[in-house]
Amino acid sequence: MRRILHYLIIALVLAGCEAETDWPLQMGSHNFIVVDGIITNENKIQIVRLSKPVDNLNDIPAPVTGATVIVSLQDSVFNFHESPKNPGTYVSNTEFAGQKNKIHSLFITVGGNVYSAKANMETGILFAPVSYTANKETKLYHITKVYNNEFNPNRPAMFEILLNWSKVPGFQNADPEACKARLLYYILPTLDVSQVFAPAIEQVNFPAGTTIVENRYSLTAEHAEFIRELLSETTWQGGLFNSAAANIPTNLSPGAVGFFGASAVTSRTEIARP
Amino acid sequence: MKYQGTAAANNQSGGQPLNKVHSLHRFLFAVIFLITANSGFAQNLEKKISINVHNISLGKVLKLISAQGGIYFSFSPQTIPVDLKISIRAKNSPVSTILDNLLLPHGIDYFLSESQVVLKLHQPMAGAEPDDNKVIARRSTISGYVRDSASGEVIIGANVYDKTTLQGATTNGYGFYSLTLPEGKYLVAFSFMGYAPVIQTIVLSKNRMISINLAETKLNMKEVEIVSDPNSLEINNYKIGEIRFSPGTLKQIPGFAGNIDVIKTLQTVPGIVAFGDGSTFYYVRGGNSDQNLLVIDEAPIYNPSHLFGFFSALAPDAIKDVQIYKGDFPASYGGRLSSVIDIKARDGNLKRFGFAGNIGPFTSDLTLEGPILKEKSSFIISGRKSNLNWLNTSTTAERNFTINFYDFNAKLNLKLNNNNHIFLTSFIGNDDFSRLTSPTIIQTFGISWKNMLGTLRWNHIFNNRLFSNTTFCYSQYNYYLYIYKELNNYWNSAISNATLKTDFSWYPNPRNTVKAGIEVSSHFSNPGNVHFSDAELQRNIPKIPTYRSVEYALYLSNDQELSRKLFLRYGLRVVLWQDLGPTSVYFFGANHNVIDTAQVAKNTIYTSFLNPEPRLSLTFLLNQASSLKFTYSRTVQYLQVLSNSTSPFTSLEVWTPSGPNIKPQKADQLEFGYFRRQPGAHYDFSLETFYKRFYNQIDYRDHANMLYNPLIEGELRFGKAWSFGAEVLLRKTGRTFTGWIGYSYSRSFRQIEGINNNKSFRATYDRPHNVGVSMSYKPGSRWDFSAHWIYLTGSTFSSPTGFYTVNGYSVPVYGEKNNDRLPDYHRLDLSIAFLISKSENKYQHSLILTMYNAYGRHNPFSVNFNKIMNDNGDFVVPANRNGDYILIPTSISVAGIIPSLNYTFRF
Repeated sequence: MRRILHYLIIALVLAGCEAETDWPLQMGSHNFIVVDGIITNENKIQIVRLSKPVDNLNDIPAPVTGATVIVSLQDSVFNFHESPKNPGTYVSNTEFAGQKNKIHSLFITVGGNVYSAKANMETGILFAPVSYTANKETKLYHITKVYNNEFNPNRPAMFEILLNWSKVPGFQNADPEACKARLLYYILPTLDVSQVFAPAIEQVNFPAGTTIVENRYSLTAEHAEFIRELLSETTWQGGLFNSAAANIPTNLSPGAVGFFGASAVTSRTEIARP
Repeated sequence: MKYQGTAAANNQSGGQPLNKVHSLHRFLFAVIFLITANSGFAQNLEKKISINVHNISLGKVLKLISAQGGIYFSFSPQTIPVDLKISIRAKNSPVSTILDNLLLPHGIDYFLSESQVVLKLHQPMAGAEPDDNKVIARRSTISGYVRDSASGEVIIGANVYDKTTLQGATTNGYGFYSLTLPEGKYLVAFSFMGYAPVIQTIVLSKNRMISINLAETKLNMKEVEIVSDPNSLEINNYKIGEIRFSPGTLKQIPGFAGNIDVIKTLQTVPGIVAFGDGSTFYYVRGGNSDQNLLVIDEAPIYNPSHLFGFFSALAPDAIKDVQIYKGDFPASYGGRLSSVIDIKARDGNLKRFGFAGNIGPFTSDLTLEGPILKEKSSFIISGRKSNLNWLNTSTTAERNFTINFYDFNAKLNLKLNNNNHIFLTSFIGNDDFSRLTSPTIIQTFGISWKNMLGTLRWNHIFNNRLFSNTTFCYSQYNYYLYIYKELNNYWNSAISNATLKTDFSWYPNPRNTVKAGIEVSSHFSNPGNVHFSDAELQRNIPKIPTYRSVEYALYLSNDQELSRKLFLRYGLRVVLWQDLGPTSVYFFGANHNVIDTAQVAKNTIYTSFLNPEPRLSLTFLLNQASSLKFTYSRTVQYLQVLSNSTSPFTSLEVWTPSGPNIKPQKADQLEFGYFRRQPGAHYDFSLETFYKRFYNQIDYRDHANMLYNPLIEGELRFGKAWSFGAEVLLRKTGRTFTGWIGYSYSRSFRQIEGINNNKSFRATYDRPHNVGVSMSYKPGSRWDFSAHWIYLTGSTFSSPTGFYTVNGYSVPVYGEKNNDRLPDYHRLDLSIAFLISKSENKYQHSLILTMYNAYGRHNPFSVNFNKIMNDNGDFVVPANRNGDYILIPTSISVAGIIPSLNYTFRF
């Protein structure tokens, strides 16, 4: 009874009330393109995505088509072409790998405008495997720990956890895309109150036998700062300790937003075991 | 017994106020009007009679007394206002007591002559205020303390004045008054709202020390009670931009969860804008929340909140007086731009032991007090603790919360002799809020903050006209953000302050009150450092430099009566601020990058600021009931909180002094006000307008990194701000009904270099319309009903004008800063108190039912565009960044209807 009362009080006092709202947005002018690309040190087809902003929440962003995309790395130049299946997605003509401690330059020409950005690549390091635990009732797992400390002033990183249980017995007939998840975690050189008291996040559950691919992306200080501000406006927004809202920065030249980064990737793959 | 005189009737004697009548008629006894023919009995003024009449003439009341008491009166109807309307209720009271309270407040003396009670208007021997040009040969001073008769506590702000001339004084913050008058005979009144006034005939032929005890009025008092004092000095004493709350007033306003709340009560005052539910942030006339100074017994408290602001960190039973200055601060106050809230803690009962307390679902508190040496020294101890945490027996549940807070007040009051008094005050407050992140990995993060302050004060009376107070106070505030509590990894910021100061009050004559003081303060600030238990990690992180500063302040002010109708208050405060080493100072270039660094040696001064702060106030009495006021004040602030949080809760406290990168904030304020008190009708009306300009205002670059950043000063942007507005307040005080209605219209704008494309924008706290209605109805001795309603225009915020997608995140795009407004805020709080015991019992206990947000208004403090709904129906941030999710706009509010039943007791 006391416990019920306790949670009732907590619910009243702290949780307050979060309700869906039909909030009319004011109109703005959005004459810019959105760049989303990370060159990695993996020898592979690299990808840069170009899109346009939208006026309303959940609108599908229109792709930026017909652009010329070039990435240069020291004396090498790599041309990209637009994927016929995915308009706005530009893939390198050949496989190549980014290089640590080197400057990677991006040039985009579209509609008579030229946009550019530069990115350095930090060294990648090995990392400990993720921890996950099972729900006693559902027997499904969820990630509990990706790193020891989400604060590290020297080695910021992004962790991409790719989960795939489409081959797990019982899920083989399900939609394969519904049996995949991409989770992102970060180690940042900064601390924010909105980060510490971030709102509740969706729990992604997966069955035993799920393939877990862990990719650690090294981040430069500039890239980490971009992610910090990105998270301030997305994952950390909506708790009890929001910071003042503002546009997030970019390393692209005027007329473009988003980020062009270069990361050393270290990976690990495992199967979720009971 | 109860008496009520309608002051409007004062004018009925020849159309003149009493004092004017008195000056026109010199001791006139030409006509003796025999009220009663009953002359066969000797006069016995100690005979007890009962009388209960309402709004009848003084002449008829005298007839009734005459009939019942077997006495007869003789007086001149030309001088005695027999048409004066009187209400009186007395049960079995001596005739002399009834006459004292019936006649003396109206300047009517009585004495026995032959077998008659002779009435005459009071005639001071030499004390009537002479023509302005006449020279007074000799003046003497009455001085002393005004105290509560039950507890012996001094009363702040009590009026002491001659009934005839209205020459008077007000008790200072220590209950001391000094009134210098020409030698003569005076009828001196000592009065304070909620207390029965005492009127004494004083023959002033030498300096005299007269301390007076006033009795608190109660509905069921058997003795005579005066509800109003028509000749009060309130009109003269009204100060623009200044409001005082007594504990009695505070208790009439329902607080959150049954707790009386000083800070939230202030938010009902026009010109003070509340943040909203669960917050102790408040904004005064366009100033930021860190521009408000809050002192407890002269020591500053940096975070007066518990549980992020749901509760104020001040136990209500420990408070004696709350004084609020929205503008025109006395020169003795400085260091903040927008407001001063001066809270005086109770001294403790000098006469008997007592206790009081409160038990409720959210908090419980207990206060003990009593004499150490009766009538000479006393103590008071008060403690409060949250009740939330003991309810939680589980320690391993997922997302387990720990919520705990407490505060502790203690005060010693030592009277060394008639001229020396010592007070020792201490306050400790602690908050702890933490959450377990996972049931399998014990990692707790959380927030904790601690306030600690102590004050040692020495009151010394040099002579009847010179009073001094010397204070040493220390205040410390620590803020902890636990990253991993079990590993003792945390971020900590701190500020502390030690002050030594002496204030002098000199009362050379009734026309001047001179105040002067000197103050030296040492400030220390740690803007935030991280502690890791891992030594290697600790070695690799930079250390954020701390700050040390010294502040020297001098002030001088005078409250001067230029004429009967014109009052002037002027003052000057001069502050020298110096920053001292050891520290590291970073210098920033035009693009906010570091261009130089300096290592400053210990005790080396690396920045100095010298700023005068002039204050001027002019009051013009239009008539006995109304006045006009004009004020100008400049204020300077050297300490500020750096925070870009939009949360209603106290979340991050980085206090930083002015220095090479942060110029002192300054503000100029002009105010114009009109005040009217309807005599006898218990109505006050005030209209105040203001215009305020702020300089060197602080803002932050977009997404400034405020928490752990050695270069935090590089995150700041500077500019100006301005605000203007009008505030209306109508107050009614009465025996059964008390309340006020306030409305303000005010605007606040900022213009900061590098923010919003350098264009001006609305401040977050720009909330133009603000309405507060507070009512308390006490129909009898046991029931008390209160209602309180506030309305505020919604605060501004930046809403997106579009979105784009990066790495699976839907990122908002913003246009103008603070382009949008949250929904308007309004809330009704209700309270019903029932006194279980009889009101005359020594042990009194009550049940208080409060309903916070009675009609369950959803008052959001944020609107978000980043949530999805999970299978449990909860709004959560999406984790799967594959991109197939539908985001739902949500709004978050703090509290719905919160009922609370509290049991309070007092002995």
